[in-house]
Amino acid sequence: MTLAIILLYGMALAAALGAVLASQRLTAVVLLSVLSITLALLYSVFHAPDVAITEAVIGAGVVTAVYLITIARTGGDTG
Amino acid sequence: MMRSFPLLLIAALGLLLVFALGDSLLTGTEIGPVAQHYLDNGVAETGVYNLVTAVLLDYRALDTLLESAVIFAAAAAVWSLMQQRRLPDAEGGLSVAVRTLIPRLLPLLLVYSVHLALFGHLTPGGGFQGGVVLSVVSVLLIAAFGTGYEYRLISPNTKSRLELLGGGILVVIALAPLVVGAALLTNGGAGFPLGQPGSLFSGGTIPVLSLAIFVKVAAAFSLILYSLLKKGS
Repeated sequence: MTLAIILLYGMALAAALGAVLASQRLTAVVLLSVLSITLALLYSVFHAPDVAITEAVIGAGVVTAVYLITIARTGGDTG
Repeated sequence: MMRSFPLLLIAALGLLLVFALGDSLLTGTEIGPVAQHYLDNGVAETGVYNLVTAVLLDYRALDTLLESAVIFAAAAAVWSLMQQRRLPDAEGGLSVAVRTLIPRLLPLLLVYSVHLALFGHLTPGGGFQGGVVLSVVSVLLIAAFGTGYEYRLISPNTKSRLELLGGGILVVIALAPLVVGAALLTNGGAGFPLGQPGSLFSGGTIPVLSLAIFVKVAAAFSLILYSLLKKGS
């Protein structure tokens, strides 16, 4: 179990770093969505399924949608 | 320089988190007296097994009520800023692959959202999560078939009425205990039947509040996302 937790921490860290360092906005948005899913898995490992559901739905669903809409409405992915 | 600043910020915040929380991140932490009270008496006092829902919709229901007021304000603000007397965008929609995949995905999401709202007092979930899933369904509909299709299915005016309906039910249930002299949003203490814990009709006002929040949140979020998505705004 500890191994899974450390692995998930590593994935979350990698996704967050990737989102900051990404050269394209779309890549950053997708990596933020990956970060949310990783956090949701962590919450469910920590026996907090309610928080996990909320994180997955808000973080990977609505926030990603809002970011994608904003990118599309402000002239596409031009870096 | 511009690249390294966010990196340094993340590293500093990460170190702060590790030092502040220490090994409680890996091994857990002690339970405080209030949480212990919820664990010991929660099921008897609220009639629901999901204690997270018990806290959200009974013990701290006032917070939930004000939260939905915040969502109401946000939806009202976006809608009044983006509203234009213009016909909705009729065409739109994405590739054939998206239009083929999404209709097969939507029934699952619909069932999941209703399940989250209806069984929030028995299993993880609740009206808020269910409502957000339902609003994602409306976004997927727009992605596949365009805003015009979604407009004909359920118009923004219907959504704002549905949100008012959900909010109205919340306020009525919140005020009802005052009639018998109990405090705002009292559940079992005001005489609402708690039922048998674990059954569908249990928990007094909790399932009703959950369904009202489901309708309200779904309407508000899909209204916000529709306003952002429609052309000409």
